[in-house]
Amino acid sequence: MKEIFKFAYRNFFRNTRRSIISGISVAIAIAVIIFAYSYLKGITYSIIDNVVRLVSGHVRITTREYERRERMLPLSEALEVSPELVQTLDRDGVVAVTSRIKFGVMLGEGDMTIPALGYGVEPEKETAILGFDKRIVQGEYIANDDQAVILGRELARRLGKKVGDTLTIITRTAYDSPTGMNLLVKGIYATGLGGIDRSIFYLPLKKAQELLDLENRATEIVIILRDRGRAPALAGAIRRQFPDLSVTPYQDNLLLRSLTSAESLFVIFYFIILLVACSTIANTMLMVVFERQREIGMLKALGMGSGTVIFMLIIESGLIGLSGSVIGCLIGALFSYWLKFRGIDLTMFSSTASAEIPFGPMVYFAPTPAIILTAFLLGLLASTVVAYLPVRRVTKLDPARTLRTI
Amino acid sequence: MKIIFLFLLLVQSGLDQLTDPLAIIERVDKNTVTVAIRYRAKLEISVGGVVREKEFIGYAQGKDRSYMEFTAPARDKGTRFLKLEDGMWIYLPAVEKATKIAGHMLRQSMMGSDFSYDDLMENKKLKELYEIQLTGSDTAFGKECYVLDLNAKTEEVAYTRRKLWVDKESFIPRKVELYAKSGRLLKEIGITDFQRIGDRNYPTRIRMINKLRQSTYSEMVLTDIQLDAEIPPKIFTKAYLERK
Repeated sequence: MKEIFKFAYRNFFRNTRRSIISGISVAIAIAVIIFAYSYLKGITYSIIDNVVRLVSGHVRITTREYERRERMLPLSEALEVSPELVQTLDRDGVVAVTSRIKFGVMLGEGDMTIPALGYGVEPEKETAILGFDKRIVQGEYIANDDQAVILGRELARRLGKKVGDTLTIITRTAYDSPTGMNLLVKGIYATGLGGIDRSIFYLPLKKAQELLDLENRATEIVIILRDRGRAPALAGAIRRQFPDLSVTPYQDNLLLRSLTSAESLFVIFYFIILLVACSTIANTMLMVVFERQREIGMLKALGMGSGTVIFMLIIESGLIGLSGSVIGCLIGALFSYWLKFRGIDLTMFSSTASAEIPFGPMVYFAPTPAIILTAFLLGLLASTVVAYLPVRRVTKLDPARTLRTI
Repeated sequence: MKIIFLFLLLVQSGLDQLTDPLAIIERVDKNTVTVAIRYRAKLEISVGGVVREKEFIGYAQGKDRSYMEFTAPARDKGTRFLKLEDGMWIYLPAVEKATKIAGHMLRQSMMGSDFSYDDLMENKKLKELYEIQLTGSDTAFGKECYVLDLNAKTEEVAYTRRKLWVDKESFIPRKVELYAKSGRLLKEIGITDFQRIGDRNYPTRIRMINKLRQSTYSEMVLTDIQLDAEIPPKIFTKAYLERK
C-alpha cells in the first residue's frame, strides 16, 4: 500500500507542468466556490438583518385579519396595544417590544403625487432596532413627542423637501375619514436600500395614532430577541396565550423563505463549477493512461492487479485534487475573510441595490470554517471520482499486447 | 248630476296610474333636484355594529356648486368640502390649506360613510342622464310604488343603472338600487321620511347601504332645510373654504 502511494506521488511529479495546470483549475474552482458561497451567505445575512430590523422583527404580532389583508394596509384591523400586553410580551430573552403603524399615503401636491409608506414608530425604542439614529445624513433623529418626520434621502429629493421644511400628509383615518397633518422635516436618513430610501418616512407613533385616529392602537407589534433562534418557540408560546392574534417568527417571512430555497439552487451551480474544473483532471488522467500504457502493461505483467493500478492512478489524481483544493481553499478563504471585515460597497451597482430585495449597500462576506472544509472535501472527492472514468480503461489493457506494440 | 259626474271623473283621473315614465321621473326630479338649498344634517355611520355620528351643514347651488362643513364630532369639526365646476377641494383644520381631491376619489366613501362624495353632492336631473322605463308596480316601506328602470345615456355617471321605487303619492323614490356597468348591485338607498316644503316633497331621512362593504349602513337626517334659498356667492369660493 505504501508503495502505491509512493508510485502515485512520484507520478505526480513526472509531468509537473500538467499536474500544476490541472491543480490550478481545481484551485480556481474551489476558490470561486468559497468566494461565491461566502458572498451569498453575506447577502443572505444582510437580507435577514434588514428584514428583521425594518419589517418583521424576530417575532411580529398583528391581528389575523390584518395579516390576511396586509397588502391593503387595513388600518381598521389595527390591534389594541395595552401596557399589560406589552408587559406580557416583554419576557426573558426579549431585547425590545415595540409598536408600529404602517400606512400608505400619497405625498406631494397637484399632479406630482408620490406614493409613500409611512411608519409610526416609537423613536427611542427603535434606536436599537431600526437604528435610524445612526443613519441620519442631514438634520436630526425624531423624538417621541415631536410633530416631525424623517424622510428617506431619495424620497426627500423627489418631494423637493429639505430639513426644516413642512411635509403635509393627507390621508384617511382608520374609519376612512379624511385627515391631515403638517409635520416638520426634522431629518433625512439614508440606509443605502433603494426601496426604503425612495418611499418610506418615519414619524413618532403618537403622531401617527393622532393622525389616523388609532388611539392606543398599532398595526403591528415587533419583538427583538437576544437569540434569534428562539423566535419560533416564543411565537408558539405567544400564540397559545393569544390565540386570536397572528404571531409570526421571522423565519416565516415570505422573502426569507424563498431565500432559503434559492440557496439550495446555488448548490447545483457550485457543483457545475466543480465538474467543469474536474474535467481537466479527467483529461489529464486520460492522457496519463495513454502515455503510460507500456508501463501499466509492465506493472500488470509483474502481477499488479487492474484494481491496484486503478487505485494508484486515482491516488495520483487525488493528489492533484488535494493540492488544488488546498491552494483553492487558501485563496478563497483569504479573500473571503478579507471581505468579511472590509465588505463590498454595492452602491456602484446601485441598480441592483435599489431592487425591492433589501440588501446592501455594504455586503460583508460570511465565510465559515464549515464552508471551507466542505469546499475542500468536495474538491478532493470530485477529483478522485472523475478520474475513475478514464482510468478504468486500464482493465481492458492486455499486458502482452502493450509490451509488444511499444 | 253633470257636476257629480265631472267630480267623479276628476277623482278617477287623480287616482289613475301614470303610465308615462318621463312624467313620473319629472315629478321625482321636481321634488329632489334643487336650484339652491341649505340644510343641517346628521350622519350616522354604522360599521360592524359600531355607530358613529357626524354633523354638518351644507349648501348647494345649481348642478355643480356645493359646500359642506362638519361641525361634530370634535375630531372632524372644521373639515370642509367645496365642489365647483372644475373639481373638489377639502380643507382640514390641521393642515390649514385646501387640497384638491383627485377625480376618482369623488366616488369613494365620504367620511367613512356608505355615501360617496358624488352621492351627496350630485344635483342633476335624472331625466337628463338616463333612459327611463316603467317596469311595473311594487311596494317599498309599505308604500305603493312605480318601479322604474333607468339606464345611463352617457358614461359620465356614477351608476350605469338605477332602479327606482317611486312612491305613487309623494313621488319620492322610496327605494333606489344603484348598479355598476357589470350589473353588480353597488348600493341601496332607502328614503323613509320626507318633508313638504312649498310644493315639493323633499327627502329628509336617507339610508344608504354600500353592498360592497360588510355589515355597514349610513343614515342621513336633514333638518332646517331651506329650498331655493339665497346663498351668498362667497360660500362657493376657495377663500371661504380656507378661512380661519
